Amino acid sequence: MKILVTVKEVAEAADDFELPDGALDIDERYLEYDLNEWDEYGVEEGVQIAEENEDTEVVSVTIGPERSEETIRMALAKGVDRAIRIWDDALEDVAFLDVEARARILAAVVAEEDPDLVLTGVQANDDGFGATGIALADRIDFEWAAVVNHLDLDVEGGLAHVHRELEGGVEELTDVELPAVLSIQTGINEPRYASLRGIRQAQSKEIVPYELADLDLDADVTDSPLSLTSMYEPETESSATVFEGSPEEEADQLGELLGEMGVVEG
Amino acid sequence: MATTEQSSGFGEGPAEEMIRRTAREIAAEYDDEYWREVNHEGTEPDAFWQDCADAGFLGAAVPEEYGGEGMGIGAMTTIVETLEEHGCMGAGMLFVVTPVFGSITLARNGTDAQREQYLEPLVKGDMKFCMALTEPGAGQNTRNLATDAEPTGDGYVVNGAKQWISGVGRADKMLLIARTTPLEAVERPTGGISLFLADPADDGVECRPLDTGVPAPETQYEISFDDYELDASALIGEEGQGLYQMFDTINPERLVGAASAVGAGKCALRRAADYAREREVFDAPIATHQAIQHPLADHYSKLEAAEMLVKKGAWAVDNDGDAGAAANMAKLRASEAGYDACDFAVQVHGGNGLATDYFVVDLWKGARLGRIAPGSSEMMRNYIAERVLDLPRSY
Ligand SMILES: Cc1cc2nc3c(=O)[nH]c(=O)nc-3n(C[C@H](O)[C@H](O)[C@H](O)COP(=O)(O)OP(=O)(O)OC[C@H]3O[C@@H](n4cnc5c(N)ncnc54)[C@H](O)[C@@H]3O)c2cc1C
Repeated sequence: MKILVTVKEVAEAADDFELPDGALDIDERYLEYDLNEWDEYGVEEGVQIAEENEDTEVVSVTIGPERSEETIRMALAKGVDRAIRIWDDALEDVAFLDVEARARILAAVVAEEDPDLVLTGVQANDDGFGATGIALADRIDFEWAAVVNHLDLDVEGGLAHVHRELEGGVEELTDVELPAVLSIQTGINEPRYASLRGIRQAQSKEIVPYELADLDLDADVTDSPLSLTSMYEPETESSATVFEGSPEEEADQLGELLGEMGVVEG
Repeated sequence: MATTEQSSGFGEGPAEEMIRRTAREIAAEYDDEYWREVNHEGTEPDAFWQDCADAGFLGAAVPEEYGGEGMGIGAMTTIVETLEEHGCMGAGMLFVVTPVFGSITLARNGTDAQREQYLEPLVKGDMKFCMALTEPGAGQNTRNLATDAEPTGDGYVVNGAKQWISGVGRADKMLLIARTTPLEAVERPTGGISLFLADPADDGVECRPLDTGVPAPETQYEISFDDYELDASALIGEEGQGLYQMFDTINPERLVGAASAVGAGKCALRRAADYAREREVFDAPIATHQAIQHPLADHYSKLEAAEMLVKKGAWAVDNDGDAGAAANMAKLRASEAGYDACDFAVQVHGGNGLATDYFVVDLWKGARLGRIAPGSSEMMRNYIAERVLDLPRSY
């Protein structure tokens, strides 16, 4: 079996970054890069499946510049067998790669690798679209399940029994036929640390760089109807009302306030 | 194809950066309160230790054939420095007491049977160690060791006393340094000393806790040996060669101690910088004053310089070179720079600097210890003066 895990290197801004008027991105010097939190869980899930099932290969794929190899190598140290990194001059010039563009590129990798299972994070903690996994499933015509927080794989039956986290604490239990794309929710497992042994082994694992042409893609794969128009820090406002008195009096005051604010009628 | 070899040029190779990442991730799991309890209340740092074992950290310098990673002291100093820098106060002492005193000693000088039996549990975190070298009457002058291990034909009988020995209370085994030939009978005063694998729980070994006033994860003890019988198989390495063999343990000990001092110093400076950015006294954050900024920059750069010496010493150990000079210089520079950094961090915090909540006072006390043990700054200077500068012995 082959599992493809999509991983993304995300930027995290320092606490006190500055965003000048008109800037479309946070300056590099305020940024630190790390593996997307959701992808940590995707990697762990893939590696655990490989540990439980013989002859399972876990391949990670990322779209990112050379710098991101540091981050990808951490995934290799945690047990991923090999990695693919896609980068291209055409991508270098794009300010903003939208979900569709990513799905097109990843679809080309799926065509090349032919995995049985694709694991993506539910979302990325930088731009937070939360759509790449499902857009990819749609494009490659795989079955899919989003926000998976429990996965039980029946390899022989070609079936993934999944729990999906819905709003309000509701869980949906679904069976998904392989090949499938599952978007993995945080908390599905406990991601391991990259151990010294894993780190040593990662030094000799392969990170294969692909350009768009290697995947039979043209530069226009990045064309997008979306463009980033501005970026700003929202004002944070907070006001606190402290109620005083007996619990009954406090409850009355709260009721009155909620009424005034139109939250409740009465 | 991407390059996958480790960088051979200057700077940190990819493996080292990854080791730091894992160490940072582990450190992030344990907050100040955890370390306050470990260092002040004697809480066992079991969860932390198990994480270190699972990450392979405890076996960093143990050969692969014994379940270790065979990565050497370079990896171990990187680990300890990073853990300390990210708030794991006391990690340095924990690593010295078990992985250095235990695993490195046995890996380098233990018998096959000792390695087979003990290295794996040490690497897995299932076993704790301690080392009894210092004596009330000998201090820095190890040649004057008076604890005797008298050969009896099929073993040894030990009598004597040790002082300031860390971690005896929880140790499963002890590296004991004792005299097997009386001082009067040896050709050279450095001869006649041997290393033993001793059992701190034996009836012939009595230990009493001491109070050093330094927050630390290990308690110190004084020990008396009263006709404590050791089997011949307890000997580590060769009889009479103990002081020479000890260099295989002591140079790593100095380097790990140095790495720990660098890490603790950086931890203190980061906290001082954070505090200075926030604290406003005369209408502006104190960080805007050069009297605050420049010493922070100075101390930071001195720590970085000390770290380079640590790397040099670790490289020498890992490549079977003569590590003595670099290890002593690294330990001297790191413990002095670490102390100065912590001292200034306390200053930047003003009154809060002495409040336990702000943590820097603990770092400062720990750094103060670093100038005395393992090996005092004066003894490092003696070594450099005599061995590097060829000056006459001054004592
Ligand atoms: C918290 C703590 C933990 C410890 N853990 C251990 C342990 O686990 N195992 C162990 O074996 N020991 C341990 N020690 C002991 C430690 O290594 C010794 O305290 C240290 O080596 C100094 O020895 P001493 O206290 O006898 O000082 P002394 O040797 O009495 O020295 C006193 C002072 O005189 C200076 N001095 C001595 N001789 C000279 C000279 N020739 N030239 C210049 N200056 C000189 C010293 O540098 C020092 O400043 C620990 C100590 C402490 C405080």
